[in-house]
Amino acid sequence: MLAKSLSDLTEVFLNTDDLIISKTDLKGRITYANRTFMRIAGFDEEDLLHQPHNMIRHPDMPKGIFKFLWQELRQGHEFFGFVKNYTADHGFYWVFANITPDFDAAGHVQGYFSVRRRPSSDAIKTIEPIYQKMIDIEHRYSRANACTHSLAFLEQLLESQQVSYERFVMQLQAS
Amino acid sequence: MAHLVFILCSLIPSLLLVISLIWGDFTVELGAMVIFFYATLIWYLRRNKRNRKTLESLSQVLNHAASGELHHRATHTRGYGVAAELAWAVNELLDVVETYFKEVKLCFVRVNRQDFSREAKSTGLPGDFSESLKSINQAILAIKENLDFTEQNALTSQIHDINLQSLRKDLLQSESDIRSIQNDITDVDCIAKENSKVAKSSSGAIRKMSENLHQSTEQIKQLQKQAESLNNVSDEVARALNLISDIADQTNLLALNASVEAARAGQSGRGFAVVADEVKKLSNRTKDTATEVYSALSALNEQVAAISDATQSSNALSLAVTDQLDDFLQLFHALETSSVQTSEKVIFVAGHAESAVERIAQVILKQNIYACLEEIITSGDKEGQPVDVRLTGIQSKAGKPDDPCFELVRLVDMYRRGECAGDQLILSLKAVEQNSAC
Ligand SMILES: Cc1cc2nc3c(=O)[nH]c(=O)nc-3n(C[C@H](O)[C@H](O)[C@H](O)COP(=O)(O)O)c2cc1C
Repeated sequence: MLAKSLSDLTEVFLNTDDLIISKTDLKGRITYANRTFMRIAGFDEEDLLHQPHNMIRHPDMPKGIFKFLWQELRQGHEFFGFVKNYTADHGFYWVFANITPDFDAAGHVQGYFSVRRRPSSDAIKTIEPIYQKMIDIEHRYSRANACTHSLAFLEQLLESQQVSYERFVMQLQAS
Repeated sequence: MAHLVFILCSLIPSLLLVISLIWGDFTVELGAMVIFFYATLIWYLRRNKRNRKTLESLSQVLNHAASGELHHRATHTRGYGVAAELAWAVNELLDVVETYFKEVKLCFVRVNRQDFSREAKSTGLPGDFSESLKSINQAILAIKENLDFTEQNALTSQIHDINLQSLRKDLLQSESDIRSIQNDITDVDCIAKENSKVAKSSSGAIRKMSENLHQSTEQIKQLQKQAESLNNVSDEVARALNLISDIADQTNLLALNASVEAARAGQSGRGFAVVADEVKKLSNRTKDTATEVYSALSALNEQVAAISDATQSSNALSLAVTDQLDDFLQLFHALETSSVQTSEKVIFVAGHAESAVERIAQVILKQNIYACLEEIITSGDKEGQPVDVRLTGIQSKAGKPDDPCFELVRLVDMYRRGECAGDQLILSLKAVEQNSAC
């Protein structure tokens, strides 16, 4: 028990030249992970392939963010965001993720591609309380409505600062 | 062939085993060796097969990549030695290449929509890839600046166009305005000249009138003098008449005395009495005549006085009229000189208007040349037919070779023929404008 709670606090940091890359099929099942992914997250290739990507999902991540991610991907857009993930031994690592659709030669989406870079530490300091707030909101509502409300909160926050979501995260990463 | 040799070679241990069995010298060691040999062979073949599979999938991945699909990877390569290492090297190269191309593509998809908010993320990519993305970001920034500039330029050039069009319209309007002013001024000149002529002839007439009047005034003066001298003469006549009347009275008295003396003399004085009577009658008639003459003279005197009065007042009147006429004369004189001056001024102004018209015509011509040039530049078609015709039209109006417009047309024509480059054209245009300004 003690070992677990200790490792819960163990944060793994990416180097500036680390790129964590993974690919999924249309349903979000992992079809490829690079060796940096395996090194940071502590998984073998066999552990990862064909698993749903939420296998490394951290409970500190609000559902709303993933909902927004899938909304964007379905519209053919790319997604930028700060994501906290579990490592195999329940440590965690923060990334600045960019997820894009993969098109085949005929132009059909046949999967998704994610590149994760080392996030700016200031950005994480800013985003953590926002995510916490979103999770709090999500806890107050039923599963079906949770995301709608947490996303509404995020939207309101962005509107008060008069920036788009993407501008907001880009500016955070640049800070 | 190699395959056949391999199979034949791999059959050698079993052949040895068969021979040893036939010869009857089979030993356990030999059997064990053969088993070991085949176990190793099988292990080797399996490993080889897996390696081949990995290499096959790797070659597939590379073929896909070569055909433009960068998203394929070789997976399930764990622990397969050199082939696995190779597979990872290819995978990671493809990761980098795919990431690089995605960044470029995603960025430019937005740039195409004139959205410059997404820069290519170079972090994490090695060496040249990262450098290349950084240059792309710089290029995008330059594109953005260029676009801003172009937009600005488009705006200013639109404004410039509007301005130019209205300028040309205004200039044409000004030209026709000035032309009509020119016409009006010519009319004014005619009127002024007519005025001057009329004033001249009027003043001539008045001068004549004034001369006549002077003459008649002179005559009236003469008349007055004559009347005065007549007056003097009549006074003298009156005095003479008084004298005659006195003489007649004395004569009458003498005749009375004579008749008294004659009566006293009686008969002898009878004849004398008759004479005395006759003398008395004569003196009475003399007196009567003198009185008649006197009253005629008085009437004459009255007439002369009336004439004198009349001449005096007519003299005053004619003097006044002469004065007025003199005033008039002066007035007409002034009118004449001012008409002449007006005419002179009008000629001066007409000259100004003429040169203004010329200048405006030149400006219009110049504007047309520049408009042609702009058309040539924007249409890019340097031998454009309609511009060609217009340019020749302008050329015919551009005048002599020392005219700046002539030089401008020549430059534009050279540019149209591709005989001079844009920057050279600008330099030459500037030179021509500078020369024509001074
Ligand atoms: C290419 C790609 C990469 C993803 N990477 C992650 C990731 O690193 N961490 C994560 O929690 N979810 C990731 N997701 C989202 C998951 O698919 C999933 O939506 C998310 O973990 C939420 O899980 P849930 O849908 O079970 O709530 C990724 C999805 C895609 C398409």
